[in-house]
Amino acid sequence: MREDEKKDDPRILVVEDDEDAREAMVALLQMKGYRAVPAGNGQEALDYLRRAPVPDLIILDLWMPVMDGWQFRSEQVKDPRLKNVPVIVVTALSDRADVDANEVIIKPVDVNRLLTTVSQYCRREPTP
Amino acid sequence: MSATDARQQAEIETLEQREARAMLGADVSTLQTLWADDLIVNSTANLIAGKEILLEMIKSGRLKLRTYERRPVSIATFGDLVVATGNEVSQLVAGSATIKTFVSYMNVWTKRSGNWQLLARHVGLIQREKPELLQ
Repeated sequence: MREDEKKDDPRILVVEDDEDAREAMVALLQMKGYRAVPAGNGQEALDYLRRAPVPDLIILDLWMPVMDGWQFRSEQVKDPRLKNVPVIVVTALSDRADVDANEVIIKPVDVNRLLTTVSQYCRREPTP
Repeated sequence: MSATDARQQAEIETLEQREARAMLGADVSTLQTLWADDLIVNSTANLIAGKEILLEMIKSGRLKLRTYERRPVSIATFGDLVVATGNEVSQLVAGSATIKTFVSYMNVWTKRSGNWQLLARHVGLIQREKPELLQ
């Protein structure tokens, strides 16, 4: 846990294979008072989720190696512990029809839109 | 090329280097002046951020550079709009390591109330090296 993190800060899992995008989103969310945790693909995310507390929100890329975002969603909904965790998909795909998620944000991601959407799914307002 | 275009190109070349030095030094007050309030930056992370968020990231130390070199390749003038393109090499501080990154960029400068300001910036990744531990 970071020094400035609090136990009740909303917890967000960022699942993204692109290192730049993943680290930038994690840094942004941490700056705004969330406990953001990175995962490099769907399998890493599942491994983390099976041994960690259930997060308040998952931010999910679709195109990833090892396990992509669609496979991750299919595994997530099979797990009673994880199935109700809201998911924001971030993708370069413009066809939203085949994406099963609470929200879809198209890349490049507008940071203000991302933060607004995240705040709607987390339990309290983040640090201003 | 007209004398006006040549003068504008020289001005922007100076500003490009000034802005790069301000980024390296986390000089927020200079960046406040050089960046338009409605600045739009599309980074290699595919995140579109504005002035407020970017300054917040610099102030908080989450966007910190150890080295930063900018090499403009072309500066094109369109009246009160100038487009600078080139490449950059930087070492981003990430925890206890640095990551050396090569990018291409396009900066759009606009003249408002007699002063040039950075209005838009797009950065494309050329290559990123493996993290190196800070000495």
